Amino acid sequence: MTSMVLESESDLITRAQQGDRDAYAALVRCHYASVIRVIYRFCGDEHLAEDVAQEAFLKAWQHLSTYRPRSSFKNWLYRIAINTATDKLRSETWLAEQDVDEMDVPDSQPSPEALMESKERAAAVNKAIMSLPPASRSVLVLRELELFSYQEIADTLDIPTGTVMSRLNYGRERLRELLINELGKMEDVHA
Amino acid sequence: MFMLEHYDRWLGAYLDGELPEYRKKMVETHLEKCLECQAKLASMKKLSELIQNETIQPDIPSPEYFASQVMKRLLSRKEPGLERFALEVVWWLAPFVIFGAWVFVQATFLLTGWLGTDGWLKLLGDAVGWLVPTIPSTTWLTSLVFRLGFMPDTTGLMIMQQIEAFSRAIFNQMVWQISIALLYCGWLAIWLVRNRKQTISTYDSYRV
Repeated sequence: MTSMVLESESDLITRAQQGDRDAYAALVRCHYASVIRVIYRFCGDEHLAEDVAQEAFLKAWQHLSTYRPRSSFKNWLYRIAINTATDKLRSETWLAEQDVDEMDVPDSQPSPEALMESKERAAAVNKAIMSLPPASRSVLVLRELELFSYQEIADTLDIPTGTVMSRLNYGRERLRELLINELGKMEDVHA
Repeated sequence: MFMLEHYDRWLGAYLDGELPEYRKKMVETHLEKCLECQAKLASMKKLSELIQNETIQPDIPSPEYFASQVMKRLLSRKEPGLERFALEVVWWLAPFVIFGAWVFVQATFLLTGWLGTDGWLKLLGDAVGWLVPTIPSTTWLTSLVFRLGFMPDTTGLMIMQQIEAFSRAIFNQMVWQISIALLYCGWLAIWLVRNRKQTISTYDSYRV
C-alpha cells in the first residue's frame, strides 16, 4: 500500500518535473494541508499561512527540477515552506504587532468558561512558540507538532542532528519559562 | 561530598526516543537516583502534552480551492521550464567543452613540438596564432640575478639562458593548462556544493 502511494507520488513528481501542471496540482492537493499547518505554527495567522503556503508551492514548482528523489518530497516541501515563512515574517513587522487578544482562534469547540480558558491557553502556547527564534521554532514545530524524527528534521532543515538536539533543548527550556510566566499556573508543567 | 552530574541535555532526546541504547541506559540509571532530573523529565512531558493538545488548529481550505489558487498564481507567472532546461543542458555540457578545449590545446602544442611552430602554423594558416603567440625573447632571469647583485660565471649564465629558453617554450602551454584546470575546478566546486546535500540547493539563501 505504502509503496503504491510512494510510486504514484514519484510518478507525479516525474511528470510535474516534465512540466505537467495537472500532476503538480495533484501533488499540491496531497501535501497542502500539512504545509499550511506547519506555516500556521510559524506565523499564527490563518490567512498569512495560506498565502505563504501558496507562495511555497510556487517556489517548489519553479525549483522542481532541482529535486532529487533521494530525499522525501514532503521534507523538501517543508523546508521551502519554513524558509518562505521565515522570509515573510522577516520582511513584515507583522509578528511584532501581533497581540494575544487579537490572535486568530477558530471557534471549533462549543461550551462556556472552559472554552474561554482553553482558548486563552491555546493562544498563550501559540504566542510562546512564535516568540522563539526562527531556528528553534522550526525545529520545535517539526518535532512536537509534526512528530518528525531528529534525522528527518536534520534532513529537512539541512542541519546536523546535534544542532537539532541543541535547538530543541533551547526551545523547550525557553517555552517552559515563557509558559510559566504567562499562564502563572504551570506548576504541573514545572512539576 | 559526592556530586551528581545532571543529564539535562540528554533528557529531551531521551523523551523523544532518540538516544542510542548505551546513552539511554546511562540516562535511565541516572534518573533512578536523581530527583531533579526526574522532575525535569516530568516537566518536559507535560510541556509536550500542552503543546500537542493545546495549540490552535487552523481552518484548512478544501484541496480543490487551494490547488486552484496555486495554479492560478502559477499560470500568471512566466514559465521558467524552457530556460531552466537550456541552463541545465549548458551546465552538463560544460565539462565536455572544457575537456574538448584541453584536448585541442594539448594536440596543438604536441603538433607544434613535432612540426615546429612555423610548420604547424602554416598548416592551419594563422587560425591558431592566438593560441601560440610569439613570446619576445627576454632575459628576465639574468636581469634579476644582476639586479640582486650576483655576478654569475659563464656556466651560470648558460644555465640561466637555458632556463629562460625553456620558460619561453612552455609559458603558453602553462597558461592554457592552468586556465583550463581552473575552469574545471570551478565547475567541480559548484557541482559539489549543489550535490553536497540533497534537498534544495537553490534555497541556500533561505536557510533558517
